[in-house]
Amino acid sequence: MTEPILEVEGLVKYFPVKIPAAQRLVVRQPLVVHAVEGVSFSLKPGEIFGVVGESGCGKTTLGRTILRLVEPSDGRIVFDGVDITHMKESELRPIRRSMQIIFQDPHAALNPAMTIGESIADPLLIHELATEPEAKVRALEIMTEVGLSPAEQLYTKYPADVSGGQKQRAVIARAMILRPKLIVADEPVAMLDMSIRAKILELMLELKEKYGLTYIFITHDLATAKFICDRIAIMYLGRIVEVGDSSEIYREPKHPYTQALLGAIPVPDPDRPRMKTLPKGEVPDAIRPPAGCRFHPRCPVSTAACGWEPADFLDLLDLRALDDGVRVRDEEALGSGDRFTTQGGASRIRALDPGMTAREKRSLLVLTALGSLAVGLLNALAGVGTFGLGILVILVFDLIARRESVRTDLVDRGTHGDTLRIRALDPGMTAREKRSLLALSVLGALAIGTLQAVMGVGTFAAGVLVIVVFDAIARRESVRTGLVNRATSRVRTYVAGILDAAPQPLAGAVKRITISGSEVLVEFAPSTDPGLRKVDDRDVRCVLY
Amino acid sequence: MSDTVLEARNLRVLYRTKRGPVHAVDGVSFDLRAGETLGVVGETGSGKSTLGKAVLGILPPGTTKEGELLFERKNLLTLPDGQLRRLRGKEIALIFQDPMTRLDPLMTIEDHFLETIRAHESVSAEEARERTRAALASMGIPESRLKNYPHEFSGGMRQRIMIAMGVVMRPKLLVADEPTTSLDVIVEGQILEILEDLKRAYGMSLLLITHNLGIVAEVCDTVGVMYAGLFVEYGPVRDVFKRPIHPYTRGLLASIIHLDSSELVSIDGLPPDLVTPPAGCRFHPRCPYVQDVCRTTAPEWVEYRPGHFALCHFGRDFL
Ligand SMILES: Nc1ncnc2c1ncn2[C@@H]1O[C@H](COP(=O)(O)OP(=O)(O)O)[C@@H](O)[C@H]1O
Ligand SMILES: Nc1ncnc2c1ncn2[C@@H]1O[C@H](COP(=O)(O)OP(=O)(O)O)[C@@H](O)[C@H]1O
Ligand code: SF4
Ligand code: SF4
Ligand SMILES: [Mg+2]
Ligand SMILES: [Mg+2]
Repeated sequence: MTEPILEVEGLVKYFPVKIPAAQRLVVRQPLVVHAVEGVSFSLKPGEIFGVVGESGCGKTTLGRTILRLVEPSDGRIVFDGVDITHMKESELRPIRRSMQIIFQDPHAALNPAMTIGESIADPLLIHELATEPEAKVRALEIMTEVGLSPAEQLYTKYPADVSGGQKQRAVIARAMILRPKLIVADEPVAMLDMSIRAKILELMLELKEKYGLTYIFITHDLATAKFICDRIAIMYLGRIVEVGDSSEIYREPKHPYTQALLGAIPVPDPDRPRMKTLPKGEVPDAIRPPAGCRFHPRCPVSTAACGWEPADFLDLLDLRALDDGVRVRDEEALGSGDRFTTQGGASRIRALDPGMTAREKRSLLVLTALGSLAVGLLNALAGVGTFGLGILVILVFDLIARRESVRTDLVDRGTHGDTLRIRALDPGMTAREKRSLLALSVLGALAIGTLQAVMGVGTFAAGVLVIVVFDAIARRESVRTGLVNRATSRVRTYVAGILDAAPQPLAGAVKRITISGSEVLVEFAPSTDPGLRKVDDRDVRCVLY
Repeated sequence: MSDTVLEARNLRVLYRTKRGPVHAVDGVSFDLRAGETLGVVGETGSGKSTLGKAVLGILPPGTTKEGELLFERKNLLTLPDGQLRRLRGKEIALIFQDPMTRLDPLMTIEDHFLETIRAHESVSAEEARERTRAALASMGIPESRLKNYPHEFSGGMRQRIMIAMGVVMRPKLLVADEPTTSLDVIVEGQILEILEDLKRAYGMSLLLITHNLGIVAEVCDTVGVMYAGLFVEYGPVRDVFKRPIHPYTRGLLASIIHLDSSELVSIDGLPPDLVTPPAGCRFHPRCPYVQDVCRTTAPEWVEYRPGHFALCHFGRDFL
């Protein structure tokens, strides 16, 4: 048996999601994009391995992680017998020559300021494998080989001056010039017109034969993959759902997602009637991928065991709301969206607010706040008043003291003669007396102010207390009078009705509907990923097998 | 026989550029009947979008337009701007490949609709809101999302929103320029189904621009194969696919990589520069059947079968 050229084991790539600082307080656990999650496969030399799936399923990330252009979050990559998962960039450098990538957009892949020839020769210079003249010779050779001829003439052209097909040939030539063993081709023909796609694919096949290359061929186009791949892996939301011999998979696709993808391809034959049962909706967000089988919300043949969860129940309600009549009935019976929460494997629906309603509480709180504000304001005024009073007292006392000084001849006794003005005495209070009195009135005002502030807070606290007490009483009463019971059982019955009318698998996955306090809990059976299992000649991730 | 909604007679569009006029559409004729779908296929740069823009009257200023383009017998090429603007959005609507370029990122989806509706009809805010809700619900978008902004939707949802906006005025003609090109096959299928349903429900005609022949086969009644600014073949989809006449059509059909393809086929060479298109038959530099006459004399537009036209000197030999 030949040694595999590449082995990938349990490869995982999570991208952290950047959350604004303000939201970080609310969102507790860090969010990640589940771009690639537990991908394993191995490649024989000379194989063309297709990675197929809709955009966003993680194909590019997988390809780039294998080449260590993206750091893996977990798993192992063994290239040509060497574990490169954690290799330092300096150790990796010589190995990089053997692993090249061809990008989807040839225009973006070429430096617009370099001629086609310079771009192709560049890797030789970067890796210090040739002098400039040698590199040029090698570039011209490879250009002829990839069909860029006359090579001499095209060597000096800039990317903007050649066609899309020629640009992609140049990108291929640049990857080939280092004589790689493995090439990751990321949608190499997706941006080219139909009439030239075939030419590029043929070129890739020729080069493979000639140099014994191994390809990872990434594409969203199952028809192209069928044409050139020996084996293919179908990916959905970061996971491989089916992998095996290409011809077998096309002959008999087993995974419902593979079947859907194949069935959706438009057939250029007007006599073939359009008979499609397309999966519902679109690929869900990779930040919160569905539980269990990730395809379950869209799968046309899903079963109760496929991973139904609270989010699906909420989606069902959203779907029902598309019909006007149903929406009104649902809202009457279940209330608006803010009554729903999910926790663990259950959807929680608050059947009623047994105490005061949130709105009542809110208005009372506002009232209390306003009240204590008003009191506070009044008191602030009183504080200012106290201070004013203090000053007044000082002024009056001072005046009286002045008068007394005159009346009792104190002033006369203190002055003799008019020519020279010497203030013989302070007729009123002494400055020191005034200062102490002033300090006294400030202190007084402050003391009174503090007292009143405390009173304001007290008023507020009293208000809150009233709310809490009333709420508790209302709660008791709601329970005593059976209000809670009636509301919860009404909601429970309604939810049961919704589930009866719901698609079987979802309804079947609901373990029970229970009541907890004033909430109705729709509990789902715990869900697990079906796992990739051997089915005949391939591996499939589906509970049906 | 149903009425013709859109009729092109020798339609020409020339862009002014520094390098000289670009013959982007150079004498195209077709009829699109009520409730039918005309597919326009061709490679990048063949003039498909230009044709669509001509119908919408949204070509850049200074562009030369010749021939006739009749919408319900009014020539769109000579219609005063005011009237054209009134038609646009109400009688003729457009959807694009990338809805994001047409949606204002700072406006909620609801506001987009209200603006569209009230630009064409004076209805109460209540009624406009009701119509918006209904239009979006018919596309599977719940009311709870009316206040969301365009970037909060997936690509497929955005395209549905565009379609819902395009048809909210119940236009007679919808021009869809590569409406599914940036979408994956499953969502593409969903969008095509929506378009089919709308056509059936409102008897709308559809001008569907695409480079995907599979889509044409599945949803179009007639098809125009465009090459270098010309329809080189035009006719009922079945005829064109099953009994193609023009060598380019044959090449294009053979080059599709589909699940039943048994070999890789391509058309040699590249489409021509439309500033200096080749003399004679424009396809002659790439045509495997080229003869001397093809290099000098432009072929005639001949109806080889009822409604099935082609532009080739040797059309008869390929019947
Ligand atoms: N650098 C990145 N940072 C954050 N998320 C990323 C990054 N690159 C890709 N993603 C996300 O990872 C998922 C897989 O993306 P990608 O590998 O590009 O898929 P595909 O190539 O199949 O279209 C997507 O949800 C994408 O938005
Ligand atoms: N605004 C424009 N000014 C000048 N040339 C244009 C303009 N728009 C398109 N063209 C040219 O017209 C030709 C047809 O373009 P287009 O109608 O966009 O083709 P398609 O939609 O089939 O790709 C191309 O050669 C293109 O470069
Ligand atoms: S496990 Fe299989 S049947 Fe169940 S949802 Fe997934 S693909 Fe469908
Ligand atoms: S006219 Fe001549 S060159 Fe043009 S398509 Fe016909 S055979 Fe080919
Ligand atoms: Mg990608
Ligand atoms: Mg276009």
